[in-house]
Amino acid sequence: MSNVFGTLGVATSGMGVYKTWLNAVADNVANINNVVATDEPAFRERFVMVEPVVDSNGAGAGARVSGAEFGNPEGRVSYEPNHPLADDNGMVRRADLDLTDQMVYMQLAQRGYQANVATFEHAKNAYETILSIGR
Amino acid sequence: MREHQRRNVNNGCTRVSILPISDGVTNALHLAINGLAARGRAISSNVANLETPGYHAAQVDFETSLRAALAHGAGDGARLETSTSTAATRANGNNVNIDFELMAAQENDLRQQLTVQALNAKYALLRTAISGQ
Repeated sequence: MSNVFGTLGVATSGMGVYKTWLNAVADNVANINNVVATDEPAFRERFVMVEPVVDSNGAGAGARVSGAEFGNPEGRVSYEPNHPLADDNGMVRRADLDLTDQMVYMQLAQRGYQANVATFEHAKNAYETILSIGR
Repeated sequence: MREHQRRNVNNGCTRVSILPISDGVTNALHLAINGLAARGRAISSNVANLETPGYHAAQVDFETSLRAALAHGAGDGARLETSTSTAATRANGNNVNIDFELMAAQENDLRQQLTVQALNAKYALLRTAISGQ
C-alpha cells in the first residue's frame, strides 16, 4: 500500500498486459502469409508470457509481462513450384500460424482489457468516495 | 497531577479515548474502509491476472476479525486475512471468475460508499456538537 492511489496502478498493469498481448496477436496476423526459402527460418509466432506481481506485504499487485516465447521456426513447408523463392523441389516455408487461434487470442485480450478498464473505474469511484470523507 | 487526571478519565470505563473525536465508532469505520480498500486492490489484481496461467484468485476478509474485535470492545485485534480461492481451475491453471470479480467490485464500491456515509454522519454529529447549533 505504498502508493496512495495504488489500485489504479494495479488495474493499469492489467491493461498493459492485455495491450501487449493484442500487439503480439496483431504482429502475428500481420506476418501470417510470410513466405521464405526453405534454407531460412519461418516467421515465428509470438507468445506473451505473463506473471503475477506481489508487493512487499505479499498482497497481489497486478500482472506484468515477463517475456516472450516464440513458435516453431520450422514453419510449414508447402509445395509452390511457381514461387520465386521455391527450392529445387518446389518447396517454400510458411509461418506455422493459425488464424483461428489468433482470432480467439484477440478476443481474450480485448475482453481482458475491457475487464481491467472496468476495475479501473471501480478504483476511481472508490477513491472519489474516500476523498469525500468529511464533506 | 497529570497522572491523577488520566486515571480519573479512564475510571469505570473499559475504553475511553482521550480524544472524544476519534471513538470506537470512527475507529471501526476506519478499519472497515482500510479493509474494503485492500479488497478492492485484490479484486483489481485478480482481474489483471485474468488469463495468467497458474494464477489463483486472492480473497480478502476483514469482517470476521473486526466483528470479533468489536465484540471485545476494541478494534485493535482487527486484521486483514488474505486467502487463495480454491475454486476449480481452467485448463491453464487459472481460477479467476470474471463474473464474481466484477460483482465483488460493485459490491465493494457500495459498501465503501455506505461506510464513508456513516463516517460523514458521525462527523456531522460532532460538527453540530462543536458549533452548538
